[in-house]
Amino acid sequence: MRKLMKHIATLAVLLTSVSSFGQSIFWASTDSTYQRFTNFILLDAHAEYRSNTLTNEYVDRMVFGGYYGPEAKAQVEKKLVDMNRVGGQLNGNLSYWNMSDSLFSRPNLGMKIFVESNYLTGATFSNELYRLIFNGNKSFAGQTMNFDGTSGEFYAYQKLGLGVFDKQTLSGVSISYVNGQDYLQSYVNKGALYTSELGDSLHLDYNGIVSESFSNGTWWAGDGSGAAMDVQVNFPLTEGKGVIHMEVRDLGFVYWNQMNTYTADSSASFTGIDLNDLLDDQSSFDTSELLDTLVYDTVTSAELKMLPLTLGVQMFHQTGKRGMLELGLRIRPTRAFVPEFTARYHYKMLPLTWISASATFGGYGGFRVGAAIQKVWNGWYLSAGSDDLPGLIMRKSRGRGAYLSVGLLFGK
Amino acid sequence: MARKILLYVLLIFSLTACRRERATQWEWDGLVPIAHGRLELTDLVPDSLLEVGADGVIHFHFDENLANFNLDSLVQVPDTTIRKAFTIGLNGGPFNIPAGTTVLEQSTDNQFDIGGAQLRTVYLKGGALVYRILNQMNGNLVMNYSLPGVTKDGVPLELDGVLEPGNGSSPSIYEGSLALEGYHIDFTGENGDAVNTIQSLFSASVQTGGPAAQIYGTDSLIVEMNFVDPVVEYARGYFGEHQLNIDDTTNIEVLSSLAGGNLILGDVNLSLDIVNRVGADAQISIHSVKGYNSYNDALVEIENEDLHDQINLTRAFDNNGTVEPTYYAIALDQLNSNISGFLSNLPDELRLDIDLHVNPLGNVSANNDFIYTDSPLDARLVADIPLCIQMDNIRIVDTLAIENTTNWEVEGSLYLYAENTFPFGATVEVTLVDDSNMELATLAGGEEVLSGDYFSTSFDVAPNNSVMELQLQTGVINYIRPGSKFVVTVLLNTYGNEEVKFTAENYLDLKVVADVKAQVTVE
Repeated sequence: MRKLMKHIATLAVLLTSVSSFGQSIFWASTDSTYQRFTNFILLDAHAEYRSNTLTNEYVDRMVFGGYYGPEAKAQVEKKLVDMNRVGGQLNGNLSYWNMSDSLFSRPNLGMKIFVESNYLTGATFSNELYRLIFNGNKSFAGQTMNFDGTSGEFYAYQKLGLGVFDKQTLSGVSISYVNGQDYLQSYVNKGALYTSELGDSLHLDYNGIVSESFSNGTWWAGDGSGAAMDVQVNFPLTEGKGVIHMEVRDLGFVYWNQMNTYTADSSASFTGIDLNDLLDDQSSFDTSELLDTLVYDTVTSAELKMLPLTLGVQMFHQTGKRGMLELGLRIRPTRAFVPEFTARYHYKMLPLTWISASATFGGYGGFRVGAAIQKVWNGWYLSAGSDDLPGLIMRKSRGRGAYLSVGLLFGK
Repeated sequence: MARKILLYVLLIFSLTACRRERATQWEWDGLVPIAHGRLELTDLVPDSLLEVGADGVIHFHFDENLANFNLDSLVQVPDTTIRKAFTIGLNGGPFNIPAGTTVLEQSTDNQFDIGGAQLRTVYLKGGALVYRILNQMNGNLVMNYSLPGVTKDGVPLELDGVLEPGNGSSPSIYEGSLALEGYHIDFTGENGDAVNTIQSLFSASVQTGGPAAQIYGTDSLIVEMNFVDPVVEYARGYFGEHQLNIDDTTNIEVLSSLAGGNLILGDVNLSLDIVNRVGADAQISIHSVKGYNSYNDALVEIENEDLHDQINLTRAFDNNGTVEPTYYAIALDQLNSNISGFLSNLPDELRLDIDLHVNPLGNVSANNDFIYTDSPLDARLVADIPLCIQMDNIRIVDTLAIENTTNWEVEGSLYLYAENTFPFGATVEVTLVDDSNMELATLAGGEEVLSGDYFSTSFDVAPNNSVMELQLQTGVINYIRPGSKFVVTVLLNTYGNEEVKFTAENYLDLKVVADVKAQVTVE
């Protein structure tokens, strides 16, 4: 029985580990199906965006177009806080795992290779910046609208990696070459717009920085190269009752050959065109004049930037014959991502079919509930699910996300 | 269930891959400063027309050129072609002319017809000389054609070249052109005592080192010199006697927007000045000077008993290039003319009917008339109007044509905040009309900018604040398109409908703010 439970826990870790983004889990059957195979190919995809404020309807209007009307605005505005967050990611991974008898004359080691494409974005914005853009400045006549702390980030990069892992614990490490496609980091340290009582003058204070290196939108046109390391460590619990899984993803960097950095610390006032200039035929009404008055410095240089690191820890603990409880914490040290806590319960419906339900809080968004299903048959593995099931169908929800994994075990 | 979720996920992914087919739109409620500024009289009227008097009152100086008597037409050298054919002076042939032999050497005075003028000297500031030399002689000829009286910086105009062999039916052609700007033409000919005459020298010889020429007595060398569009800068000579009539209309831009109302002016001084910068005598007869208000279709003629007297203007004096003109001025005021009524008509057109008799006594200068064409004889209307005026519903109408439109959909209001220290107020009406002047919408109907409070003893004005609203109602923006026009009508009234004095301290502070609900569109 103890051996059996060990297999259960091991396979659980295996699939948790091979899943690129830590959201899939495979709870093995008691017949140790996987041990009959020596190769495993897994195709894994994950897409999500999430906010603590912005609704799906907002995102739909911005992405697909349409009228963003008062009712939709009200749904957003009732959740606005001083600093709001939005973010998302789109990842795809294709990996091959070799679990032959021996690697480097070490029978406990396996090898994996993988290719991966990652797109991550995040932003923080103040309540008043949102209101300026979508409502206007009229209701702030005689007041200052504050944009301090507004930030934005975007990463696009691809990895080609090679790793080794321990077949028993599936702890392992991989090293990757990283192709930098796009990079953006912006931060408004101080930003404020004052609208006078009559509206006859606008005064903008700004202090911030923007760094960017953008390709023409294709991954092969990126202008950076780097390296990354991923580490996964699994600690089986005593008596095979579960596993503690820890991982570090994207500990690495990209050296961008041409990074544009814009810094600004200035102020600008706009009082409309000067009628005297107009009478002298020296001016016309053009809002670009306001933009022309904004002062900033530009530096272009090669720079090394860190990848968006992710740290995760999960504990799997068996509860009864058919159940397993998972508790997880994920951290990404960026402004838009707060620590994300997950509680998930896995239930074995059939010998090779599992379902799970989850509750998650944090990350780019707030609280959400999800579900997933996993199945194995004839060496095939399928996993699909979402951390936010209501988000898939409700416009008032504040995020959408789903993941899909398809794997094949072969070779005996 | 799992299958449905999976399908839904795939659907989402496929949707995000779709191209966006419609724009994102939302409403934006904003306050935007549009314009600001302090307007003083100098902003509305060119500085050169304003002067502050000793009493602090601003005077309006009006100096309008009523007519230029372009007497340069009297000395205009017409497009002229000189065509001369030269032969060797023998009959028969062919004659064998050895290399190095001169076949022609001839000096010629070329006469020009310049109207009734008898010119001695001309400086040109434009035009071209197009030349063509045709050789009917069978031999290579070295030629030189020069105009000793046509010089630039003291160097005579000279053409040198080799003429290819030709014959009577198929002559060779040597041609080209040169700009005449900066050339001086001496029209006194070879002996220096003629007029309208240019001397030319032409020589040709058989090219040395080459074969002998075979020339018939009938073979010619033909020289064609064409003066094209010569523009005279200065001329001296006798310009002839001419009778000219000037029946001219001059627009007065500064008054062209004034469309009606009652304007009472203070002490107006006006002068009709005639300035002669031409070295020729002239007699001038002014038949009429009329002011026309096109808005009211009202024509007022200046009435003054001296105005219609014949004016004898003596010639100007050329002091080594500095012209000392002669003047004649007719002073007009309220006592000797109807000048107040003339100006109160707010004319936007001046109509002048004048006869000009040039050199009425003939050639009394012994061919020493002169003209610098940039300094003509002209008539000017010079007015000094102290801005002590009373305005009673003076109407200014201006039309602003719409050339471009924006894609912004807006509604709301434009607010004009005014602080006025001028001693007059304004009532403003702004309408939008189509290309057939049918009213489409009223943006402002009788909004008022209050006059400053005027103190007649000190001429001081205490500011008054006003707010004016121009409404951009829903749908109005759709009318703002090329072809439609804004018609702005302003009624001006002085403080208390009294006579007020304008000083350099008067100003109007304006701030224009848009309070708009805009439909923001992101394609």
